[in-house]
Amino acid sequence: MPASYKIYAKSLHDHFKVFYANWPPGENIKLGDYGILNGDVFIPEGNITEQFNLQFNRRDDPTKDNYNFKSTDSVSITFLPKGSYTQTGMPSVKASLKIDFSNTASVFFNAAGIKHSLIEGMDKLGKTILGMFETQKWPASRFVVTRLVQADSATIIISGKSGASMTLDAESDAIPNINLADASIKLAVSD
Amino acid sequence: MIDSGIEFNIVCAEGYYPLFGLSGIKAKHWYLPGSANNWQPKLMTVYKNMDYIKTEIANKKTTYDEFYFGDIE
Repeated sequence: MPASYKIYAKSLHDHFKVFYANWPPGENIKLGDYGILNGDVFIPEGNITEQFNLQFNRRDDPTKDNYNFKSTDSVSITFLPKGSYTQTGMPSVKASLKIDFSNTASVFFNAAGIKHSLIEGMDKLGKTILGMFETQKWPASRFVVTRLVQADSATIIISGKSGASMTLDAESDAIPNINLADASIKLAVSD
Repeated sequence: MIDSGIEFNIVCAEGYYPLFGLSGIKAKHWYLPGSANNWQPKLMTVYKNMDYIKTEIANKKTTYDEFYFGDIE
């Protein structure tokens, strides 16, 4: 079986098409970072402004969005409201979310409060880079981060075997139900 | 609760960048070995076959006009 990060990167790229998954997920990445692709995994090498003095303007989209993905037919999600009866027969103090994986190599991804940023004037930047390519200063195998997706919160789970499961609780016991599109609901791994 | 079958899990707070888009140099036409007309109009990244394309440019069979900078899907 391929490494879990390769499965994650491929699953998200196949689903979102124009987007690649950041790996490791907490890695700091900026517009203008450049690097190579190893399959669907981006390996950064530097930044076009810092290394090549290529300037660009950034445009931020003010609207917010939510993205989610789960491996088809192999991930099931059960929402358990606060007060649901637990396996011990006691009502739960917090709302929770149970995620079951029926196949190996399955992915659950949820990002709430998504904001988009992109490089403005791609035409101009592209012409400059093409000029560098012609003078052998820019390898064709090098790619530039031209769009960036920032999330207010994100939950990522990768299963390594069939039958795996995970339960997440709302951090606050004031939350009656978990809404994955609500970035203000903080989740934590259940005890 | 985490089952032993979970290989990776992370719950991230504000400021996290889960996804990004890439742009790079692409070819307007792509060489397909073995086809009747080897240069096909197809948008693809060129990085996998760059050595071949460099040879074609050196042999004046194609030019740098063949290339443009665009989104990589």
